[in-house]
Amino acid sequence: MLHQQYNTAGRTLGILGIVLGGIALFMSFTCIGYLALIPSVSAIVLSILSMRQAREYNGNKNLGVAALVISIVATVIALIWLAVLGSATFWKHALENKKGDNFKIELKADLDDEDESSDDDIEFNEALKDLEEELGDLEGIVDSATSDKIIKAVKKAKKSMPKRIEVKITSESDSDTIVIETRRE
Amino acid sequence: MILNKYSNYQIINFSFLVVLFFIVFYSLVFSVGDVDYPVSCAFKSVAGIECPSCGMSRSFTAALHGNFKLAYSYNNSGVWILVFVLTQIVARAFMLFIERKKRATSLVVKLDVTLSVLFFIIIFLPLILNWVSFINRLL
Repeated sequence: MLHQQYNTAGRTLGILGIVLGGIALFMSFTCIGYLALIPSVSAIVLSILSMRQAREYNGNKNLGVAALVISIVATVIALIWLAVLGSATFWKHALENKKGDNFKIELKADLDDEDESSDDDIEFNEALKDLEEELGDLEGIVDSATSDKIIKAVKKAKKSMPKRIEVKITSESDSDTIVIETRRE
Repeated sequence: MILNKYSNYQIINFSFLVVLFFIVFYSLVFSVGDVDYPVSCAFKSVAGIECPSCGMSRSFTAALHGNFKLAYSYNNSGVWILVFVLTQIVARAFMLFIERKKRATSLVVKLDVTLSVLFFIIIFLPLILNWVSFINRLL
Protein backbone atom coordinates (compact mmCIF):
# COMPACT_ATOMS: atom_id res chain seq x y z
CA MET A 1 0.00 0.00 0.00
CA LEU A 2 1.28 3.49 -0.76
CA HIS A 3 1.49 5.63 2.35
CA GLN A 4 0.88 9.29 1.66
CA GLN A 5 2.39 11.49 4.33
CA TYR A 6 1.69 14.76 2.53
CA ASN A 7 -1.43 16.64 1.46
CA THR A 8 -2.48 16.72 -2.20
CA ALA A 9 -0.96 20.11 -3.09
CA GLY A 10 0.59 20.00 -6.55
CA ARG A 11 -0.70 16.47 -7.12
CA THR A 12 -2.88 17.05 -10.20
CA LEU A 13 -0.27 19.21 -11.90
CA GLY A 14 2.45 16.64 -11.15
CA ILE A 15 0.40 13.78 -12.60
CA LEU A 16 -0.40 15.84 -15.70
CA GLY A 17 3.30 16.66 -16.03
CA ILE A 18 4.32 13.00 -15.86
CA VAL A 19 1.69 11.90 -18.41
CA LEU A 20 2.49 14.75 -20.82
CA GLY A 21 6.22 14.11 -20.34
CA GLY A 22 5.73 10.41 -21.14
CA ILE A 23 3.74 11.23 -24.27
CA ALA A 24 6.39 13.77 -25.32
CA LEU A 25 9.19 11.25 -24.76
CA PHE A 26 7.48 8.67 -26.99
CA MET A 27 6.62 11.32 -29.59
CA SER A 28 10.20 12.57 -29.76
CA PHE A 29 11.28 9.25 -31.30
CA THR A 30 8.70 9.36 -34.10
CA CYS A 31 8.66 11.10 -37.49
CA ILE A 32 7.10 14.18 -35.89
CA GLY A 33 9.63 14.38 -33.07
CA TYR A 34 9.85 18.17 -33.19
CA LEU A 35 6.13 18.37 -32.27
CA ALA A 36 7.03 16.73 -28.95
CA LEU A 37 8.19 20.20 -27.91
CA ILE A 38 4.55 21.16 -27.32
CA PRO A 39 3.75 18.53 -24.65
CA SER A 40 7.29 18.53 -23.24
CA VAL A 41 7.42 22.29 -22.64
CA SER A 42 3.88 22.13 -21.19
CA ALA A 43 5.05 19.31 -18.91
CA ILE A 44 8.03 21.39 -17.74
CA VAL A 45 5.72 24.28 -16.86
CA LEU A 46 3.26 21.98 -15.08
CA SER A 47 5.99 20.22 -13.11
CA ILE A 48 7.50 23.53 -11.96
CA LEU A 49 4.03 24.71 -10.89
CA SER A 50 3.46 21.40 -9.13
CA MET A 51 6.72 21.69 -7.19
CA ARG A 52 5.93 25.27 -6.26
CA GLN A 53 2.46 24.34 -4.98
CA ALA A 54 3.90 21.39 -3.07
CA ARG A 55 6.51 23.58 -1.44
CA GLU A 56 4.01 26.27 -0.45
CA TYR A 57 1.36 23.91 0.95
CA ASN A 58 3.57 21.08 2.26
CA GLY A 59 2.68 18.69 -0.56
CA ASN A 60 4.75 15.88 -2.11
CA LYS A 61 7.35 17.29 -4.50
CA ASN A 62 8.39 13.88 -5.90
CA LEU A 63 5.74 13.89 -8.64
CA GLY A 64 6.89 17.29 -9.85
CA VAL A 65 10.54 16.23 -9.85
CA ALA A 66 9.78 13.02 -11.81
CA ALA A 67 7.70 15.01 -14.31
CA LEU A 68 10.47 17.57 -14.69
CA VAL A 69 13.14 14.90 -15.39
CA ILE A 70 11.01 13.11 -18.03
CA SER A 71 9.98 16.35 -19.72
CA ILE A 72 13.53 17.75 -19.83
CA VAL A 73 14.76 14.53 -21.51
CA ALA A 74 11.88 14.75 -24.03
CA THR A 75 12.60 18.43 -24.68
CA VAL A 76 16.30 17.79 -25.32
CA ILE A 77 15.50 15.00 -27.82
CA ALA A 78 12.86 17.15 -29.53
CA LEU A 79 15.33 20.05 -29.77
CA ILE A 80 17.94 17.77 -31.37
CA TRP A 81 15.24 16.65 -33.82
CA LEU A 82 14.46 20.27 -34.62
CA ALA A 83 18.16 21.07 -35.14
CA VAL A 84 18.58 18.12 -37.53
CA LEU A 85 15.44 19.14 -39.41
CA GLY A 86 16.74 22.70 -39.56
CA SER A 87 20.09 21.63 -41.00
CA ALA A 88 18.34 19.42 -43.56
CA THR A 89 16.19 22.37 -44.60
CA PHE A 90 19.33 24.50 -44.87
CA TRP A 91 21.01 22.00 -47.23
CA LYS A 92 17.83 21.67 -49.24
CA HIS A 93 17.72 25.45 -49.75
CA ALA A 94 21.44 25.53 -50.51
CA LEU A 95 20.92 22.95 -53.24
CA GLU A 96 17.91 24.77 -54.64
CA ASN A 97 19.98 27.97 -54.84
CA LYS A 98 22.67 26.07 -56.67
CA LYS A 99 20.03 24.67 -59.02
CA GLY A 100 18.93 28.22 -59.73
CA ASP A 101 22.44 29.02 -60.90
CA ASN A 102 22.37 25.94 -63.16
CA PHE A 103 24.34 23.96 -60.63
CA LYS A 104 26.82 21.95 -62.55
CA ILE A 105 30.29 20.94 -61.62
CA GLU A 106 32.60 19.41 -64.08
CA LEU A 107 35.80 17.91 -62.94
CA LYS A 108 38.26 17.04 -65.59
CA ALA A 109 41.29 15.11 -64.73
CA ASP A 110 43.75 15.59 -67.53
CA LEU A 111 45.80 12.51 -67.47
CA ASP A 112 48.77 11.54 -69.46
CA ASP A 113 47.88 10.17 -72.86
CA GLU A 114 49.62 6.98 -73.38
CA ASP A 115 49.43 4.32 -76.00
CA GLU A 116 46.32 2.25 -75.72
CA SER A 117 46.88 -1.39 -74.95
CA SER A 118 44.71 -4.14 -73.62
CA ASP A 119 46.55 -4.12 -70.27
CA ASP A 120 45.87 -0.42 -69.95
CA ASP A 121 42.20 -1.02 -70.78
CA ILE A 122 41.85 -3.56 -68.00
CA GLU A 123 43.62 -1.29 -65.53
CA PHE A 124 41.57 1.67 -66.67
CA ASN A 125 38.27 -0.17 -66.41
CA GLU A 126 39.11 -1.46 -62.93
CA ALA A 127 40.08 1.99 -61.73
CA LEU A 128 36.98 3.45 -63.36
CA LYS A 129 34.81 0.86 -61.64
CA ASP A 130 36.38 1.68 -58.26
CA LEU A 131 35.85 5.37 -58.87
CA GLU A 132 32.25 4.86 -59.90
CA GLU A 133 31.57 2.84 -56.75
CA GLU A 134 33.15 5.49 -54.61
CA LEU A 135 31.25 8.29 -56.31
CA GLY A 136 28.07 6.23 -56.20
CA ASP A 137 28.25 6.33 -52.40
CA LEU A 138 28.38 10.11 -52.54
CA GLU A 139 25.27 10.42 -54.69
CA GLY A 140 22.34 11.88 -52.84
CA ILE A 141 24.47 13.55 -50.18
CA VAL A 142 24.71 17.21 -50.94
CA ASP A 143 26.90 19.15 -48.57
CA SER A 144 30.07 21.18 -48.58
CA ALA A 145 32.19 18.10 -47.97
CA THR A 146 30.83 16.29 -51.03
CA SER A 147 32.89 18.13 -53.63
CA ASP A 148 36.04 17.64 -51.52
CA LYS A 149 35.29 13.92 -51.34
CA ILE A 150 34.74 13.76 -55.11
CA ILE A 151 38.01 15.54 -55.84
CA LYS A 152 39.82 13.20 -53.45
CA ALA A 153 38.26 10.14 -55.13
CA VAL A 154 39.19 11.42 -58.60
CA LYS A 155 42.76 12.13 -57.54
CA LYS A 156 43.00 8.64 -56.09
CA ALA A 157 41.70 7.12 -59.34
CA LYS A 158 43.96 9.35 -61.41
CA LYS A 159 47.02 7.54 -60.11
CA SER A 160 45.91 4.27 -61.68
CA MET A 161 44.48 5.71 -64.88
CA PRO A 162 46.91 6.27 -67.66
CA LYS A 163 44.28 7.92 -69.82
CA ARG A 164 41.86 10.78 -69.63
CA ILE A 165 38.74 10.67 -67.55
CA GLU A 166 35.88 13.10 -67.21
CA VAL A 167 33.71 13.26 -64.11
CA LYS A 168 30.45 15.10 -64.53
CA ILE A 169 28.26 16.07 -61.60
CA THR A 170 24.80 17.42 -62.32
CA SER A 171 21.74 17.99 -60.19
CA GLU A 172 18.40 16.55 -61.17
CA SER A 173 15.84 19.26 -61.75
CA ASP A 174 13.09 17.95 -59.48
CA SER A 175 15.00 16.26 -56.66
CA ASP A 176 17.73 17.03 -54.19
CA THR A 177 20.06 14.31 -55.41
CA ILE A 178 23.09 14.84 -57.56
CA VAL A 179 24.11 12.51 -60.34
CA ILE A 180 27.74 11.68 -60.82
CA GLU A 181 28.84 10.31 -64.17
CA THR A 182 32.29 9.18 -65.16
CA ARG A 183 33.34 8.59 -68.72
CA ARG A 184 36.43 8.02 -70.70
CA GLU A 185 37.40 10.83 -73.02
CA MET B 1 -13.02 15.69 -6.43
CA ILE B 2 -13.43 12.26 -8.01
CA LEU B 3 -9.66 11.88 -8.58
CA ASN B 4 -9.05 12.02 -4.83
CA LYS B 5 -10.50 8.49 -4.55
CA TYR B 6 -7.52 7.15 -6.49
CA SER B 7 -3.82 7.16 -5.72
CA ASN B 8 -1.28 9.03 -7.88
CA TYR B 9 0.06 5.72 -9.10
CA GLN B 10 -3.39 4.53 -10.21
CA ILE B 11 -4.07 7.71 -12.14
CA ILE B 12 -0.65 7.66 -13.86
CA ASN B 13 -1.02 3.96 -14.73
CA PHE B 14 -4.50 4.51 -16.10
CA SER B 15 -3.42 7.54 -18.17
CA PHE B 16 -0.49 5.65 -19.72
CA LEU B 17 -2.78 2.69 -20.39
CA VAL B 18 -5.13 4.95 -22.37
CA VAL B 19 -2.21 6.41 -24.36
CA LEU B 20 -0.76 2.95 -25.09
CA PHE B 21 -4.17 1.65 -26.18
CA PHE B 22 -4.48 4.64 -28.50
CA ILE B 23 -1.14 3.75 -30.14
CA VAL B 24 -2.29 0.16 -30.74
CA PHE B 25 -5.71 1.32 -31.95
CA TYR B 26 -4.11 3.86 -34.32
CA SER B 27 -1.95 1.10 -35.81
CA LEU B 28 -4.78 -1.41 -36.07
CA VAL B 29 -7.14 0.94 -37.92
CA PHE B 30 -5.04 0.86 -41.07
CA SER B 31 -4.58 -2.08 -43.39
CA VAL B 32 -1.16 -3.52 -44.18
CA GLY B 33 0.69 -1.91 -47.07
CA ASP B 34 1.72 1.53 -48.19
CA VAL B 35 -1.29 3.30 -46.78
CA ASP B 36 -1.34 7.08 -46.48
CA TYR B 37 -1.20 7.67 -42.73
CA PRO B 38 -2.52 10.99 -41.47
CA VAL B 39 0.89 11.77 -39.95
CA SER B 40 3.66 12.06 -42.52
CA CYS B 41 7.37 12.40 -41.82
CA ALA B 42 8.43 16.01 -41.46
CA PHE B 43 11.98 15.14 -42.44
CA LYS B 44 10.95 13.43 -45.65
CA SER B 45 8.67 16.25 -46.69
CA VAL B 46 11.33 18.88 -45.99
CA ALA B 47 14.55 17.19 -47.07
CA GLY B 48 13.27 14.30 -49.17
CA ILE B 49 15.29 11.82 -47.13
CA GLU B 50 13.75 9.09 -44.96
CA CYS B 51 14.58 9.46 -41.27
CA PRO B 52 15.38 6.43 -39.02
CA SER B 53 11.84 6.57 -37.57
CA CYS B 54 10.19 6.36 -41.01
CA GLY B 55 8.00 3.31 -41.50
CA MET B 56 7.27 2.93 -37.78
CA SER B 57 3.47 3.19 -38.18
CA ARG B 58 3.50 0.80 -41.16
CA SER B 59 5.73 -1.53 -39.16
CA PHE B 60 3.32 -1.47 -36.18
CA THR B 61 0.36 -2.16 -38.48
CA ALA B 62 2.10 -5.04 -40.25
CA ALA B 63 3.26 -6.58 -36.95
CA LEU B 64 -0.19 -6.28 -35.37
CA HIS B 65 -1.59 -8.09 -38.42
CA GLY B 66 0.98 -10.84 -37.88
CA ASN B 67 3.25 -9.97 -40.81
CA PHE B 68 6.53 -9.66 -38.89
CA LYS B 69 8.83 -9.98 -41.90
CA LEU B 70 7.13 -7.06 -43.62
CA ALA B 71 7.09 -5.14 -40.34
CA TYR B 72 10.85 -5.59 -40.02
CA SER B 73 11.37 -4.43 -43.59
CA TYR B 74 9.44 -1.20 -42.95
CA ASN B 75 11.47 -0.32 -39.85
CA ASN B 76 13.79 -2.71 -38.03
CA SER B 77 13.10 -1.06 -34.65
CA GLY B 78 9.33 -1.05 -35.15
CA VAL B 79 8.65 -4.61 -34.02
CA TRP B 80 10.68 -4.15 -30.82
CA ILE B 81 9.01 -0.86 -29.96
CA LEU B 82 5.65 -2.55 -30.48
CA VAL B 83 6.80 -5.28 -28.08
CA PHE B 84 7.60 -2.50 -25.58
CA VAL B 85 4.14 -0.95 -26.06
CA LEU B 86 2.34 -4.29 -25.61
CA THR B 87 4.45 -5.20 -22.58
CA GLN B 88 3.69 -1.84 -21.03
CA ILE B 89 -0.05 -2.36 -21.60
CA VAL B 90 0.17 -5.62 -19.66
CA ALA B 91 2.37 -4.03 -16.97
CA ARG B 92 0.11 -0.99 -16.50
CA ALA B 93 -3.02 -3.17 -16.32
CA PHE B 94 -1.30 -5.52 -13.85
CA MET B 95 -0.11 -2.64 -11.66
CA LEU B 96 -3.61 -1.14 -11.68
CA PHE B 97 -4.91 -4.49 -10.46
CA ILE B 98 -2.18 -4.73 -7.78
CA GLU B 99 -2.89 -1.19 -6.59
CA ARG B 100 -6.62 -1.93 -6.46
CA LYS B 101 -5.83 -4.84 -4.16
CA LYS B 102 -3.70 -2.42 -2.09
CA ARG B 103 -0.58 -4.46 -2.65
CA ALA B 104 1.48 -1.90 -4.53
CA THR B 105 4.12 -1.23 -1.89
CA SER B 106 6.73 1.45 -2.35
CA LEU B 107 9.23 -1.26 -3.31
CA VAL B 108 6.90 -2.63 -6.00
CA VAL B 109 6.43 0.87 -7.46
CA LYS B 110 10.20 1.52 -7.48
CA LEU B 111 10.79 -1.87 -9.11
CA ASP B 112 8.14 -1.13 -11.75
CA VAL B 113 9.64 2.28 -12.57
CA THR B 114 13.22 0.93 -12.70
CA LEU B 115 12.33 -2.04 -14.91
CA SER B 116 10.21 0.11 -17.23
CA VAL B 117 13.00 2.68 -17.66
CA LEU B 118 15.60 -0.05 -18.28
CA PHE B 119 13.33 -1.80 -20.77
CA PHE B 120 12.70 1.53 -22.51
CA ILE B 121 16.45 2.17 -22.87
CA ILE B 122 17.17 -1.36 -24.16
CA ILE B 123 14.35 -1.28 -26.71
CA PHE B 124 14.98 2.27 -27.95
CA LEU B 125 18.79 1.99 -28.04
CA PRO B 126 19.00 0.63 -31.65
CA LEU B 127 16.72 3.45 -32.84
CA ILE B 128 18.81 6.01 -30.93
CA LEU B 129 21.99 4.61 -32.50
CA ASN B 130 20.35 4.75 -35.95
CA TRP B 131 19.54 8.40 -35.31
CA VAL B 132 23.11 9.13 -34.20
CA SER B 133 24.61 7.57 -37.34
CA PHE B 134 21.97 9.34 -39.48
CA ILE B 135 22.90 12.72 -37.98
CA ASN B 136 26.61 11.94 -38.46
CA ARG B 137 26.02 11.12 -42.12
CA LEU B 138 24.00 14.28 -42.56
CA LEU B 139 26.63 16.51 -41.01
